[in-house]
Amino acid sequence: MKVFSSFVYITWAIAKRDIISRYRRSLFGLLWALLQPLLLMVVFTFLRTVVDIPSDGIPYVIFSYAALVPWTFFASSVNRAGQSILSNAALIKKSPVPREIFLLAALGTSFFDFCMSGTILAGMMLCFHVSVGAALLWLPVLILLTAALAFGVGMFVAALGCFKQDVIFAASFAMQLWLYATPVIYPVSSVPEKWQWLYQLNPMVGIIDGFRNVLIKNTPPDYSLMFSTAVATGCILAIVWPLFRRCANYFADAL
Amino acid sequence: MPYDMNTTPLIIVHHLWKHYGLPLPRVVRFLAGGKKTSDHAALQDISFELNRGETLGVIGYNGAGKSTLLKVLAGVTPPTSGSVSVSGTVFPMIELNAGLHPEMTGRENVRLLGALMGFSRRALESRMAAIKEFCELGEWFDMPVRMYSNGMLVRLGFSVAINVQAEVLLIDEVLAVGDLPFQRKCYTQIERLRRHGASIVFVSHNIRQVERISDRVMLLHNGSIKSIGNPEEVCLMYHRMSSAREMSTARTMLPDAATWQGSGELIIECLTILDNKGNTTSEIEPLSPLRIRVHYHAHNPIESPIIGLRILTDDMMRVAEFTTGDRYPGALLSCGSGWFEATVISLPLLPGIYTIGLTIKCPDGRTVYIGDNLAFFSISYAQHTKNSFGIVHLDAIWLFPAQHHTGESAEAKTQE
Repeated sequence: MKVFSSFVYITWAIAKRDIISRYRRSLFGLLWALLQPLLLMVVFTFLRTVVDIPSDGIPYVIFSYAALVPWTFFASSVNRAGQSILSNAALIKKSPVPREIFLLAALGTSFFDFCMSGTILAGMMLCFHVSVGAALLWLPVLILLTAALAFGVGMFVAALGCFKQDVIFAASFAMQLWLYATPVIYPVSSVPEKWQWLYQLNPMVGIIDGFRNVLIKNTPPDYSLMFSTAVATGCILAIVWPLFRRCANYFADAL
Repeated sequence: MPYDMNTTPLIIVHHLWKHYGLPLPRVVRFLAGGKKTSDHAALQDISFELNRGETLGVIGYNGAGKSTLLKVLAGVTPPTSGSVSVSGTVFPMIELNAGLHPEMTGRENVRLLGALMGFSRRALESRMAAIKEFCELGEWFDMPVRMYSNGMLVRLGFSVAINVQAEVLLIDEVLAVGDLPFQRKCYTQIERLRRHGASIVFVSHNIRQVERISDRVMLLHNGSIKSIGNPEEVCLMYHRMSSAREMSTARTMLPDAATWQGSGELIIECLTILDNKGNTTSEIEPLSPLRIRVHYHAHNPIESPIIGLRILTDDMMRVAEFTTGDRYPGALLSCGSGWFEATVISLPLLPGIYTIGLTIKCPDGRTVYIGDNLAFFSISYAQHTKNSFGIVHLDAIWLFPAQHHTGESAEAKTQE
């Protein structure tokens, strides 16, 4: 128990360092955390004036932003977690703490950005008079699932990326492609029926669709989608974590 | 004493082997296209124990496995085979100022490093004042670390390390940095920790330091223990090893090692060390004469030069410099080739490798020639200085007003 609480403290200390140090010498400071999903939202909203993208009858600005915020949380978590071993090389070489701590701290940093963007989202929901209700209780579950999935994917990237950096470069490309394979800027319904089975193998489909249901449609997530997402996340963790554990022993040698 | 001194050893290492590289099957390694990993083991069959309150010095050439051993003890990297058990809290002082974040203040960095070393927030805050005082950073303590000088970084890193109550301290070559008063302070602090029962594994290239503060010394060579035990004996063995090695490299590298500059009026052709019969030598017994002959080629004659010869240890410490001063007004370095000679009647240096440097000045103070590493010589091991340690042999006469009867002469007894 004492060991556990010290790990929590270390994770917290590293996340805090990353958040503070990132913006300490910048003019706008923490405002930068808001920029990425906002910018993507603007780009896709403009794109929509050219290409017709359905949005289930919801104003497209809020339709896309409500999905872009959790997506950015996921994508930046994976990217940061994937690099966390390399960027903390100096600490890893001198301390035997469990290496997972550095990934969890990376998730914490991304979660902080997520909360910042979340306040903007809440403001927009007020402007657009989006009605919310009991479905919001699903939010913690969705956030936890996102974090667990990002942790799993991040471990894979970090474990291999520590030995061959190509994995880390490839991961940031893969995340961009993954965005288009996920119903972030379009609804699930626009994927043809005969491809749905393949489409739903992507665990982010259930998560993003769930966020959108809960946030702007005030309906609980699609249970069957949630179930398959949870199973997929569990499988990824079950495979990747032992792999990560095995590689983690040799991080200090490889760095 | 906060600890019981009679318990089992804090560190038990049993047949430890360490190979670097992932233990992948050969096929996977081939498919990955990786370079052939070397089959050389960084550590080979290391076994030793360390008791409470004991200080173990670890010495050896670069690449002998000293740092790897510390990393394994710190738990940062796993042993390939064998067992390593370290009981008690460990504090590794490895690459001390690595991991400091440049944008964070000294205080914030201390918090992070402290947390990583297993401190609770409360324990850290209660020590913060002591840490701040120890590192002597003053108001810099609350400034971003990127503004620190190198010395300040080291002081910060060391202050965290030294103010913890760890039972096992792993110290890797960290005391070489920092100014002298700070180094001294660190030694005092280490001594204090030791008296409180902390065990220390101390890696350094400074053999004199190791010999002074260790209870036992381990000599690593190519990954295995060449010798472990009494500091004087093991350090002597290392000195012998390095002397042999240095002399052989010195002989081949001498032309490259020499560094000199001058006005160009004179060049030194060679600097030789002669024995009693006038033959060139490179090994001298302690307390025997040192005869240095310098062959030069001058383009202009230099009248009443002021010549200085200096003797340096192999770690570039100046042991002595003797000069002609103004005692030889009639001296002349004539045009063309010539030589001059200096003899030290009895050289009181102890076994080791020494190098010679030369300075030639005009009476008006202008430097004509200044050079170092012009020649090497070694002092051999001799019976008559076996009770002397350090660099210089001092012949002391001991006096004991009280005596007990042993049958031996008092003088023989005091030699022990």
